Amino acid sequence: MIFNSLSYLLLLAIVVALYWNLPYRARLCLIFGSSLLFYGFWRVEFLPLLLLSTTIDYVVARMMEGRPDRQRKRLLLISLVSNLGLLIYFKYLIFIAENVTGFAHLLGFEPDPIVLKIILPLGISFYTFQTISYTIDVYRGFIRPEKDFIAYGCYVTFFPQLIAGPVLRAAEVLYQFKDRAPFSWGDVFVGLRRVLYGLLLKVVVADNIAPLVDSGYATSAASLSALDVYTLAFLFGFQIYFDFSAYSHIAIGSARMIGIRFPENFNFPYLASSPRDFWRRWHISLSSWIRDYLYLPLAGVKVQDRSVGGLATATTDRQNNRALFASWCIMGLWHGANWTFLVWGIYHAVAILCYRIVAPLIRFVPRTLQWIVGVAITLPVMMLGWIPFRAESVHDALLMWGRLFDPSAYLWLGLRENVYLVTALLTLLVFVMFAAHRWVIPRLSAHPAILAAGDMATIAVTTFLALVFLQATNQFIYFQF
Amino acid sequence: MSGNSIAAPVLRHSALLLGILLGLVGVHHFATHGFTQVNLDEAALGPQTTATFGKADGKRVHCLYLKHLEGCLQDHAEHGAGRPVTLWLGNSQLHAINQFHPGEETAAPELHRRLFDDGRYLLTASQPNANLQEHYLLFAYLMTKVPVRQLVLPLVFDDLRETGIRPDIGGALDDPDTQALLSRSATGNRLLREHASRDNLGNEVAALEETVQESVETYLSTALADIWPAWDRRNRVRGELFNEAYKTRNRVFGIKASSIRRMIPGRYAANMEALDDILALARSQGVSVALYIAPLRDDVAPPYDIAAYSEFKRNAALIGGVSFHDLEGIVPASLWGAKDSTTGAAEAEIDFMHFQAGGHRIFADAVEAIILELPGGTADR
Repeated sequence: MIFNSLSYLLLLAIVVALYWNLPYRARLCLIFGSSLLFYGFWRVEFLPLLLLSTTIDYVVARMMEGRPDRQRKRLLLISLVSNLGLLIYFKYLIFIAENVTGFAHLLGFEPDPIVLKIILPLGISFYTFQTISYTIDVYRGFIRPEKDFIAYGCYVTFFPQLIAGPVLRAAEVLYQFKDRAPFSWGDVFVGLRRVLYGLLLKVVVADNIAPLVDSGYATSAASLSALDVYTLAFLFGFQIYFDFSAYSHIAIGSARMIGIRFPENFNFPYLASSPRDFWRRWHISLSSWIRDYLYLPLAGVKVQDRSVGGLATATTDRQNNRALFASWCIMGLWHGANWTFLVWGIYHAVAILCYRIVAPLIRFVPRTLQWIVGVAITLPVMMLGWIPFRAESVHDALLMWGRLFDPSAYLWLGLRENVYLVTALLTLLVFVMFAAHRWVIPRLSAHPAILAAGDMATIAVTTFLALVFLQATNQFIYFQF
Repeated sequence: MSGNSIAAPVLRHSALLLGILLGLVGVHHFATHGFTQVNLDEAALGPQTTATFGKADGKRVHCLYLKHLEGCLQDHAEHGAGRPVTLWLGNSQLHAINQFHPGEETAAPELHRRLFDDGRYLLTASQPNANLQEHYLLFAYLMTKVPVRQLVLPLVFDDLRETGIRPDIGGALDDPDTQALLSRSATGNRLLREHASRDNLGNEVAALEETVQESVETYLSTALADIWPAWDRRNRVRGELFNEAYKTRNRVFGIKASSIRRMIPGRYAANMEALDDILALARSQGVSVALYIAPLRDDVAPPYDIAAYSEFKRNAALIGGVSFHDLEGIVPASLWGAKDSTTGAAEAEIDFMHFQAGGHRIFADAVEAIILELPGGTADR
């Protein structure tokens, strides 16, 4: 089921209304049942796969309790092999087969083409990471295995975050399902507000940027000027930001309406002052997952139980750098089975590495100046990083990047005027949103009546636009991962 | 707990509920009272210019989008079977009359009548700002439906700023015979690829296709529209919001009909490539082609970069294997008109694209001469 639809809004309303009127056990059953219904609305035949993944980790974690380390390690291995096996089969097998065939052709062999028809189950990358983190946390002794299957099932399948995150840790939410939280209008209203903002960002902003982005990236790279490449990089950067942050708003808001609090997944990422800072603000739940379950173990760092923050430590030794590149390659490929995502991952690893080298040299610069210069440099660097993420092939991405190094490509413009205008307005919008959040709203809090009037006007416009533009014409971009 | 700290959440929650209520009232008001009278196709032309698709002796011979074309094809089957078809493609210049008076008609039906008496069958299809990729698609599509023997194609510098296929004719890309013809060229393959990957703009549940949710969503949407008719009219509100945004942009940046429109290199190249593909397809199918530079008013400076426009015309004249005609100056200044301001201002602006009915008569004469001169077009060829 997708969020920008009447069916979702109806499901959410029914779940919220029932949830607060049910006793504890029935609440859990309602969440678990509605989550399976939510997922089954896409394809019923993939429900068993979701339940299989859920059950494997439930059983494995239960079996770990009280066993010696060696057996616990074996159990962990079973969990990893089964989860990653499913992920590799459904997400990467076609990619691997195509590349093996291609490589054989390069070596002069003529193998028969491998024809595979595998449908990628929606949300598999998210729920697999979530179940893996649960088993690892039990293995590490950070949490105790959950005995109640339904409660555990709610943690894995909870509908607001099932398809595109945030990637939750068991320690963050499992206890909330088991709490018998009292009804709170505050939770319902705060959640509703987030859902409305999320719908606005998705159906009004992201979905209306999409045709401009599609048309721009369909243009041959040779017909694009350097400024066009910057513009398209920025435009897609905004599309994916508004699309994905919209999803997170709706997920966080939906959960909040039944009293479940999710950690934030975005924090004005385009106002980041360094690549490292960017990853502390963008898709926070995934970057912190990669940090805790991949990067830090690879770097040989002892892991603490943390759930927010970025990927990096401030060291530059060889092991850290190897871990950095390995983590980013996996982070890239996690997003999709295509070389373009690998290039995207390596690009970010290089950006973070460069920052690590430069950071000690600019410590003496005043903080405000560091921030201003940092944002001015980081924003275009991060935006240009979206090019391989959106391009059809590595070749296309390299051609687009190549335009930036051609001085003659700076002398003309190759897109419709509206594309530049929309991009400029969106850039402005991001800064205005940040300023409003950081300075204007806090100052107005001393004048509750003015704040309430402004709030009411904002909600009225948001509701109006969200309803007028509400159409299930576009999926969320992160559904494909 | 102090009075203030209790009052703040109450105020916030009240603001939320009132805001939602106001938003709902807004949707209801604009969908039922505000924007319901606007025909968006007409709005694009402005009230001083009227779109008209005249019939010739009851036959539908001039069509806009794919759904209308089916009617034109039906009438050809009924009245023109056995007659070779002369296909005239174009933009809104073909279907719009400036300062329209009842009873007036465009060049297409008038020309159809004249040619019909001569054993020919003229079929015209035009869309606002149609680009050459769209002409390529419609040419290929109609090739598979009727015996096209002549093709008359305008070269409109302004339309080379457009690209891609609009949803209203995109359905032609689903036709297997058309796909077979298009797949012979790079442009055709690109159009097919883009069509396959693009979101279906006309389908409000496109993202739900092939899911269980699709039927539930359609049911809910229909049920809601039954209870609350405003729900079904939201597309008009959306269209009008975009129209207002367009006017605001023009007001802020001072953009008028006479503002210089720069050439967009990528789109220009894609359209000229499509032209090559049209000519290649025509050659392979034995279709004679006439190209003409579209009429343009010459009493004021055109809204183009003159150097780029001159080069475009020079290059067009050099295209081999076709009959080329420059019709730029055929319609005198007195037969052009004005259009409503693109910024919403009170004063009218010059209309560079659409002329009055008298202009259409001159246009029909000129195109008739082109067609009669062109090989093919009659059964005894």
